[in-house]
Amino acid sequence: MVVNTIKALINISIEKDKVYIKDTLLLLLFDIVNLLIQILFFKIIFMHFNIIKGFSFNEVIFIVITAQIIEILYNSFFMGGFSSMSSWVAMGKFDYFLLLPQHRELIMNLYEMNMKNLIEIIFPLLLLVKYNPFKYFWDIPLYIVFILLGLFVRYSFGYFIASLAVIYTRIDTLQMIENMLFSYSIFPYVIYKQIAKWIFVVIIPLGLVANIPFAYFNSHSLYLIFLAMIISSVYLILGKLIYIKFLKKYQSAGG
Amino acid sequence: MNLKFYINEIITFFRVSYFYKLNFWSFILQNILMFALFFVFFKWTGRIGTLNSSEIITYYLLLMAFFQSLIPAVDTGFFSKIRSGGLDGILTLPINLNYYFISMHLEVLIFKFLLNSIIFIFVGFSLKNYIIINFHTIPFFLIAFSISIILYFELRLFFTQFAFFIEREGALASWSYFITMFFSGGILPIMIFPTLFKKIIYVSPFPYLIDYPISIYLGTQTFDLKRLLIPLSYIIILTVVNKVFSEKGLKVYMGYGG
Repeated sequence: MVVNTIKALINISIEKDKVYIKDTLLLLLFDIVNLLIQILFFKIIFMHFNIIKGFSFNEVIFIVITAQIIEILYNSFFMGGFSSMSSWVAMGKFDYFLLLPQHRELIMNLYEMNMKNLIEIIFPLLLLVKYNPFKYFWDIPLYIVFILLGLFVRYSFGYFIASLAVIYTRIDTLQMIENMLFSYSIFPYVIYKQIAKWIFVVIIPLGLVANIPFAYFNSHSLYLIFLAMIISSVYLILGKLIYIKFLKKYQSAGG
Repeated sequence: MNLKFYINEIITFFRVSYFYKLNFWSFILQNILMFALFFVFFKWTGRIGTLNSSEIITYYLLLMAFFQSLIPAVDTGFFSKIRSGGLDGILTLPINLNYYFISMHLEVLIFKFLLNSIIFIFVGFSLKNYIIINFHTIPFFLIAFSISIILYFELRLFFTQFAFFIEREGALASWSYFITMFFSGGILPIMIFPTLFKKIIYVSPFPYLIDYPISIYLGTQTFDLKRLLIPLSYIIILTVVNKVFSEKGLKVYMGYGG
């Protein structure tokens, strides 16, 4: 039954994009430009250097591509639902989900899927052909696993922030910061030292997302993988606890 | 009477913002975190082109303290007001529509400027080894900054008034924000761009929003009255265009409200 619901949600997303086709195409084009601008950011910086403290242009672009793939997957499946949490709680639509007999949170997370974003994955994948560090065939499935781990980190943090809507109602600025910060998950993890490491790797795990695959292929660092799993689990548990504890205090604003 | 109305609007919106505590504190955190991110990155890279670490870090400090708020995004609230018929209620008021929307946004801007001034003075003090203080360029910087604020409102009004003519704002909002941000120096200082690219960008109105005032402060560009003619011309042109746009838009507007 839940599979049918998800299928229906995918169809709704596609139909919505078809209705506003011009806007959809312009947004697709925009996201390509967005990727190009991220590359241009480093291209301009690397115009003045060949290598920055041991990092080549190709290595940095590999992080940009990985970050882009993870953001596209996150935006396609979860971002819409998480961003709508605030308005669902404020307008009372949250009640509809509470009345669902099962898979309540799964449907809530996937309720505002944006399938058009998935098309965009072609462009970073095309760039990946040129800028990949893969040496063996099994590097490709391994890369997919690390992408999924990066997505898990991104999802768990997004889930935690969205769950705060049950307590605070308006969390739009917080989500704006979250999305803005994660759009800069393109920086190599070596820049985060001392207190910056605590802020941008542990508390806000943006330094982990795209750096997990990079660190593995660059130095086979298992430390970041374990850290990613621990931090993601902590945020998922915290998000879940908030739901359980504060749902009792939730007052419906619906009619 | 009108001025009193606008001030009341500002106070009301300020109170609403403060009521939602998490949102309020997020406002404060937003730019500090962004600055910290750029700080660690450019501290790592060191000198880039003609700019040394201190100049780059001061650039991003000023960017996050004031100029990040001056990237003219589309007012998405205006689109939803038009779609929901909410504009009818405003049109019946004895006020200018454009001034009304400026006053609504002005509260956010004043709020951010006041707050960021206090916060970034502390940030500046704690990073005083990296921050450049140029007292002699401050008067010129303030002139360029004032022009950038006016230009910001003109561009914001220009982009927002497309609401009268198109149904969905998503693409326009993303494009206008991102293009303006990139070409105004909101991502990277235009000073480190290739020379030809830099010259072309400086003919457009965008660098006068961010890159030009900060360059004046840093002393990497001199204050030149001839150069000021470019943003001033854009302000005059946009004022006329916005007036025409507004009149034409109101003619095609149909209220859907009950």
